[in-house]
Amino acid sequence: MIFNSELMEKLACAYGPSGNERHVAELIMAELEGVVDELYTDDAGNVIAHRKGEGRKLMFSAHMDTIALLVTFIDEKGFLRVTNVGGISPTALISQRMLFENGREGILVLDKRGEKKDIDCAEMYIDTGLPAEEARRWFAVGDLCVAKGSYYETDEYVICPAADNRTGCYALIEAAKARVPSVFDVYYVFSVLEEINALGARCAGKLLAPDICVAVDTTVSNDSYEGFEISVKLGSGVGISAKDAGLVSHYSVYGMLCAAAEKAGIRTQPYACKLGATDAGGVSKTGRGVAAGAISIPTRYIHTPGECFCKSDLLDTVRLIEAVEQYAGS
Amino acid sequence: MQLIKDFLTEACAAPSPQGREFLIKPVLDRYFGRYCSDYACTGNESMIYSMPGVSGGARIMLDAHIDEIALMVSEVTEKGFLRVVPVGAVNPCCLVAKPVRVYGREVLNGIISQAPAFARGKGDSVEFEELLVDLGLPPEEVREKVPVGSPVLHDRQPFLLTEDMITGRGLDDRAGIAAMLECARLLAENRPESSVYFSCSTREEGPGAGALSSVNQIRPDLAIVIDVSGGYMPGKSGPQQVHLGKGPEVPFGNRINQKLFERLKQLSAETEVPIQTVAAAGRTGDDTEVIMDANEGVPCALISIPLCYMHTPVEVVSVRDISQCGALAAALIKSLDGPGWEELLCC
Amino acid sequence: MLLKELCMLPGLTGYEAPVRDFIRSRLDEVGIACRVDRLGNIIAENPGPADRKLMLTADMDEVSMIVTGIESSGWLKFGITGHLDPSVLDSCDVLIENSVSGVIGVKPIHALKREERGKPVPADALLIDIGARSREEAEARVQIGAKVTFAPRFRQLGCLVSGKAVDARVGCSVLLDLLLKKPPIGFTAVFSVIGRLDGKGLKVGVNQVQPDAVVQIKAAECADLDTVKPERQAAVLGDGPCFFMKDGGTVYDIALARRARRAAESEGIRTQLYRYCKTENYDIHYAMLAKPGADWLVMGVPCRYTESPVAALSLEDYRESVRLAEMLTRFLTKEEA
Repeated sequence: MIFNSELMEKLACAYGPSGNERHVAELIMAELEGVVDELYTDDAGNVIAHRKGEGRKLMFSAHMDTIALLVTFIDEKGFLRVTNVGGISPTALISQRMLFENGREGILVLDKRGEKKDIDCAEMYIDTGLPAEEARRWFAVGDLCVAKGSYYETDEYVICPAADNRTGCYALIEAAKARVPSVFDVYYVFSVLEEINALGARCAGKLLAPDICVAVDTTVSNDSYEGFEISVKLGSGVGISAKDAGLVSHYSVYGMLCAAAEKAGIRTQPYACKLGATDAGGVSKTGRGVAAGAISIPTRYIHTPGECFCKSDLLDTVRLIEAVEQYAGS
Repeated sequence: MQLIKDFLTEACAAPSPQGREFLIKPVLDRYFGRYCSDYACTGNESMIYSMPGVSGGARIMLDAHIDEIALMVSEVTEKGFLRVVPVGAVNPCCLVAKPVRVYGREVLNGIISQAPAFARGKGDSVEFEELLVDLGLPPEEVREKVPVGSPVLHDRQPFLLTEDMITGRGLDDRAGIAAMLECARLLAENRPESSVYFSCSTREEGPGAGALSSVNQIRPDLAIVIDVSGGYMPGKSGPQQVHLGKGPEVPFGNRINQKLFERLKQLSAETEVPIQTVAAAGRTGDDTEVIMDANEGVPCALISIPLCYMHTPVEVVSVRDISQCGALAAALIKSLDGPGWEELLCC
Repeated sequence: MLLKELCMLPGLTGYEAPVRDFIRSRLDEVGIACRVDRLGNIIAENPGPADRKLMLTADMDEVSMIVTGIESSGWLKFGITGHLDPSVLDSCDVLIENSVSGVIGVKPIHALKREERGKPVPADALLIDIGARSREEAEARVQIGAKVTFAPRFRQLGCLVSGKAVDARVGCSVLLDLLLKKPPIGFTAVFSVIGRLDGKGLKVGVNQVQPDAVVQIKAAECADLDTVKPERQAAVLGDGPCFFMKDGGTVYDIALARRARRAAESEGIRTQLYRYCKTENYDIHYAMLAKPGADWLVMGVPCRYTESPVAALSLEDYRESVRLAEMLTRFLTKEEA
């Protein structure tokens, strides 16, 4: 299996904040045109790709949205004041370039006039390089912007924005294209608003009422100096969640994932962590309850403009999705 | 009360960590099976035992959570110890020098503790990152027998401190399950018109919501939630303390249906079951939270059993409080016989 | 090995009778002469030839508590004899007068402020709950002065055994096992009282025996966990019994310990040096002053989680310790001071 750099770059650099994911949705729809039996967006904005099959309903979920900043005010100098959408780390974004839907950019700056020691959104503003009147023409309160970064890869690693969770989207797309024979009736859900309590996935879960849900997302690792307590490293395989902050994985789903990986000879890294949440937690609570679990691409520097993952882990994730589709049963 | 003691003696010795609550199903089957003819299981593995009523009767859901506070293995260290993360809110202080059982591919004895004071050097605080589970086995054997995700529970058998006070692991919320069982026993002798569903709900501690899956399975007209609440102990300050042995706690507030609350007060006086009423200003922090706003809304009554040392291995409750809680719930259900129960639920 | 039976008995500092009676019965069964001195020490004679007066000794008592008050609410206040890490007491089971069960419970996490989580409650703020909810109810079952230990329990896990007082009784157990084997060299065994606090029993034992050489057998607290840097681990479980080098009150004879280690090695017995030196006083130096010039070796069985209800040691280390104790009887009777 060859790493599809072109697809990954397109996905990573696409503008798609929580609350305005349609550009990513369009991109994904174009990729899956003619690949699956049914392809549509639901009322919530999720992209749903359905590969019809005989067995139980299996839903894979990868979110399209990224964290973002929301413009709340344009001041007399034309600077934009902002608030967070999703779990922003202000220190990670200071001095970063922010990208707007209209293609324009600004730079996020710390307002040093105040005395505060802790940085939060109230102490930041965006300088768009325009005088006040021009700024008011091109930007408005309510605009969303995301951190702009560029795609860079080495032989083994990729550094790019939005690996959380465009890597998950990549995995679903490539697995859908592979069209391995499956024992399940498979739904690939590209969800909206995951960074805000998994709202999109919960809607999709209610709509589709799957028997099993597996979220495909990212997880932190402990092989850099970020200081996370988790037994996961880049380049050592797909993370399989026994527990994260949002869900204790269903025993049967966790077992299914491990068994499929073993059968197909895919390296995995099981983990139990206090941090992180995926679509799976939200979907598990829908209807009469859905058996749910999560597989994760180990990623460093999550929620920064330069997230870093290992190509082989992402390819292993695609293989694992295919293995689950083919083998899961015991 | 012997039924409650017998049940708790078995239940507090059986495991039910979040995600594997099914491990305790044989115990629940044996006890609830005596009084309930039907059984259903939800997608979140909540176990619902029920007794059908007559048509026209209310559909009543009782709820107590069967999952217990637990730890989960997150890593096997180089020396073959285990690192753990909590499932539910746990103060790491209660995990120093305690015997545990690890549910890996086999069930193994272990000890959880931290480094001795002379080697710690960091100060007094106990942190999860400093706790290790010792299995007394070489690392290769530990890696083979204990996968990441294995639950770790305190190794402690329940016992009676006095005729009335019982101590055991997981009384939060097996005390509630026991109260539901007592209610089932009373109703089996005196069948109500309502259909009654006893939901042993999963995933209450921490991020889950097994009770919600039960609501969607049952579609009840109303729910009676039975959980535990923090009982008085010296040093615990604040108004509205509830005491063990003085009867179940019955809160009122925005989460609780007012008419059901008034009915409980009335029944308490009529049946001479003492209760301790408490004003609950904000959230109640239990399954009521996920039940009341499900679908078109489910009116809730809440009865709590006072419990000391919540979320530690040495929880203590009064058996009589549990018995009275069960009796009160049964009385409430019986009082809904006949026409007119629907009016009770209107605001 | 009688370690389990010894650990399950209550043997509080100053109230060692149950342990003493047990040891005396075992010695009587095999015809070893022993007497009890005025403080409560057992002084037993292992018959046999010896060039020097040799004494082997171990303490009998465990860390314990005593009921100091009964609150109007029914909870009990207690004091500690010896030292206990308060986080060990948090949520533990205790046994009062070997018959009344109690728990030491703390405020639930929901009732704590953020900053309070993770901070152990100081020992003097802890209370014992025996299920009584009034002073009258409590007084009917427990009196002020009642003796309290951790609830007795003995478990096996992997290659370890763990339980209340495993660290406190291991010395007695090794010494008793040695006596029951009837080793050929003659020596005096002293099972001493009040070891946990300040070694007064040992000092009185030395005064009476006036030995040329002493081997004290106890537990050696290990910190061989992944969370501890190697230089702070002190000793490693499974590497054999330890020789101590110093404590807060004195430096031991390290040269002698080294010679003993070489002798042990030649017999295939693994030993290690105990690499942490307590800064607190171990009043053993008072005992040393009772017979100046005597050879002293302090030998420890490696033990994790000492002074807790789950103190644990390796059965392999235990067996090596008995072998070492026997070897030392031969080694020390040949040594010249």
